[in-house]
Amino acid sequence: MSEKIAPFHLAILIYMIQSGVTLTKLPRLLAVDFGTNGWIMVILVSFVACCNIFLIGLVNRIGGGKDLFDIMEALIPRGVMAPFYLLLAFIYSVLVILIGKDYVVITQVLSFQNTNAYYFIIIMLLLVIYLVSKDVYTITKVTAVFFVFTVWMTLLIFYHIPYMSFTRMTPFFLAEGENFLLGFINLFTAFLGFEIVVFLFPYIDRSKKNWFRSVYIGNMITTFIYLVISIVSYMFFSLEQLKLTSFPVLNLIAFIEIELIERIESFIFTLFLMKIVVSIVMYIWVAKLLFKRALPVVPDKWVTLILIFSGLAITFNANLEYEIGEWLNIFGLIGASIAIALPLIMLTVLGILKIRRRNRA
Amino acid sequence: MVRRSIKRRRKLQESEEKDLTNEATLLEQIEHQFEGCADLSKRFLPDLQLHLFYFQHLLDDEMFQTELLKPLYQVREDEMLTVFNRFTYMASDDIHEITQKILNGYAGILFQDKVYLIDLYGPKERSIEPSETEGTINGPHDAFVESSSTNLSLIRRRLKSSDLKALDVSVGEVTNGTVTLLYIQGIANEELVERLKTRVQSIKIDGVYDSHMLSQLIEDHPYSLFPQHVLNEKPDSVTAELVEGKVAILFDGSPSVIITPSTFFDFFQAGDDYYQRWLTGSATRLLRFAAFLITILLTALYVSVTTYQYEMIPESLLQTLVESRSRVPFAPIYEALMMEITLELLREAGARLPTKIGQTIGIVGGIVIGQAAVQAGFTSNVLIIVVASSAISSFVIPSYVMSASIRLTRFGLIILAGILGNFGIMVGLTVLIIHICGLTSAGAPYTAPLSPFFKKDWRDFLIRAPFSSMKTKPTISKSSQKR
Repeated sequence: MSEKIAPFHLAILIYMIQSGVTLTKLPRLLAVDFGTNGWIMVILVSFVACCNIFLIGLVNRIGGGKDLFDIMEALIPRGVMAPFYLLLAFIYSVLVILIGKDYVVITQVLSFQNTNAYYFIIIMLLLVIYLVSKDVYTITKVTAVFFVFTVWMTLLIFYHIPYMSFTRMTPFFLAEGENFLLGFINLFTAFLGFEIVVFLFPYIDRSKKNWFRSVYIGNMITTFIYLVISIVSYMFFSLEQLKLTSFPVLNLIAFIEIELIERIESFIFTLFLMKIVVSIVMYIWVAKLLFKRALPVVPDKWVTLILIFSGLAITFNANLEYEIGEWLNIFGLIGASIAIALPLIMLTVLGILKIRRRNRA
Repeated sequence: MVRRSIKRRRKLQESEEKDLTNEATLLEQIEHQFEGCADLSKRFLPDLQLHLFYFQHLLDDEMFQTELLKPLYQVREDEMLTVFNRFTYMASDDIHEITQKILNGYAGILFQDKVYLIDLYGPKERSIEPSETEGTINGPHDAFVESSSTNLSLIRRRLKSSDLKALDVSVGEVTNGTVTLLYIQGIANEELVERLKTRVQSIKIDGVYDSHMLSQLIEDHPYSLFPQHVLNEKPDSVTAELVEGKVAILFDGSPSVIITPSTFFDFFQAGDDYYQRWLTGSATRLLRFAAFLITILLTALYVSVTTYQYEMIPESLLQTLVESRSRVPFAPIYEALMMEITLELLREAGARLPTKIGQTIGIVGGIVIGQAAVQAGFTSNVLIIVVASSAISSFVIPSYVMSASIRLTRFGLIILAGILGNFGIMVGLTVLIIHICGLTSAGAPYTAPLSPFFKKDWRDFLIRAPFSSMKTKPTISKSSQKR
């Protein structure tokens, strides 16, 4: 592959993977778990995500742009690593199938109460198979166009400015929160997606020296959008109302009325399909890399199908919104742990390699 | 099958020719080659002892008289060779060359044991007129004609530079058409020129009859719904594209010139954008992009909203819509498809019929669609407005080929909207975006400068910035030279 991912596209890609269905529920999660002025936690968790990105940046700098496979296999034989690769691949595929299901269930609630959710899941997964069959450069190109089609939604909050009021805010910070730790983990999972860059190192255009900055920029775009949406929600709804509203962001959108059209939340929510497809595609793409590294004999198209079907099979019992939520809590936690652990393990391996090289010298 | 039989015939002919060459004279060989060609003029001038062979309809009459006949009548037999030694003549005894030259508008003079060939090509051709497919308000009105040499002259008149290079390649195993690759040395990507040349040369087909056909034969993705080369009939636009570092491909026999590489967004540009003030030009261009979205989405949204999401319509408007739809017995998707197909039928009938009868179609369509369909309860007034708006929008797109592709896409979206509502529309859009992003035009990304993002090229993308700020050439032509 001659074309490489430009830093600009990398920033957009990171944002598009991070932001997803969670955005629609985020203000409620903040209100329930953190209570008053919970929006402030977005900044804090974003900072934690930045620290995590910093670790990945260190891996990039010390490892000289080598990806996870090259670094790990310099110390541990591929045969030993293969089961871990497979495990990681299946975790990722389960995680994204859950994200897809979460999206579809909300679509079902909004517009198609009588239709089986699996129709939508199959259609969405067909889209995923179509996109993941392209090379990663094309995926980033598609992502940039999806970004243009979805990012304008943020501007809709201008409609709510006249209806926002400081009287709904309190001077108390993080009071009345139910579960700080769970909230923290949930919020951190909403930032997940940046860890994929570990696998993207060889595909990035490294001609610009500080290209890694675009990972931070991607995270900053997500932070900015999360923050704006949370603040608007906190000032638009009251805290108690926020706690009781399942999808506050959809309610915000439903509030918009113009002469020609109203209740656009069902339409706007369908636009989220593009974000979800990108998230799923990128994780499946990484899972494919992992799977093929462990079992190179399996043909390319079969790998995608194996990953998707195993994801579907494992999550077969997660069909209702709360079931999916519970599964997502578990796999979100696993995903978050992986995001933190990956750079740490890689740094350790790089350290051992360095010591070994020094001893040999 | 046809190609195989032609090849067999050609092989047979070649073996016959070999036999003939050995024994027969050149005169017999020529007569054998053109056997059955009643339109070949053969003349024998007994006092000069020479034979003339030519296709009268391929020659310029005046040149034929002054360059050929007059000198022939003025000389004696023994002076003939001095006449033929002039630079305008070329001597040959190779029957293949002679045949090709005569077919290309040369006159052949058989004298003694050689044939002297003189180029008198000048068939009757259409005069230069304004283009019927690409209208323009400001700017030059002349458009290309079917003759490649006239088209070349139209470009050379505007681009007076010896760096403008022309490469001739022939295409079509039976038709032997001439393709000319035009580019500016030092500005265009010469590797691309070479690649295009090889691609044209490698076309294995009996005949190519138009640039549109040639364009499909050299595309990167021949199975795609979308055209990957802009075809232009305006010499000023082609000149501008050449200056920007693109390659123009002329096909002798077609008034359209292929511009490559082209992006998806190039199909939304028109010469008028540059001849108007930059603000009005930009506004027009934005209008075209809006027209694109209206074309693909409006009818699909109508179907989706009236089938699944009635709540999206405000109460005041809902009343009108419900009233309008109350007498219609069909589901919105059938209603919409019926109207869209009727409109396509009208469009196609209008395009095929002679202009005078074509007007009748307009009236019939206007009455049938406008009034009768609503009165009969076949369709709603609102749908007529929706279908008409999206049809008008589709005609705003300057390229007819692209407009046709987009109109076809619309049907897919309408069906998806009928089945899955807004979700279906989004699925359709997603597939469309993935497909378009995967395309390339002569190796260049089809969705540039949006994705991949080329910041500098945005000055001539959604808007047309003032000329003073458009200093660099498009990135896809891979040239760093100043504009």
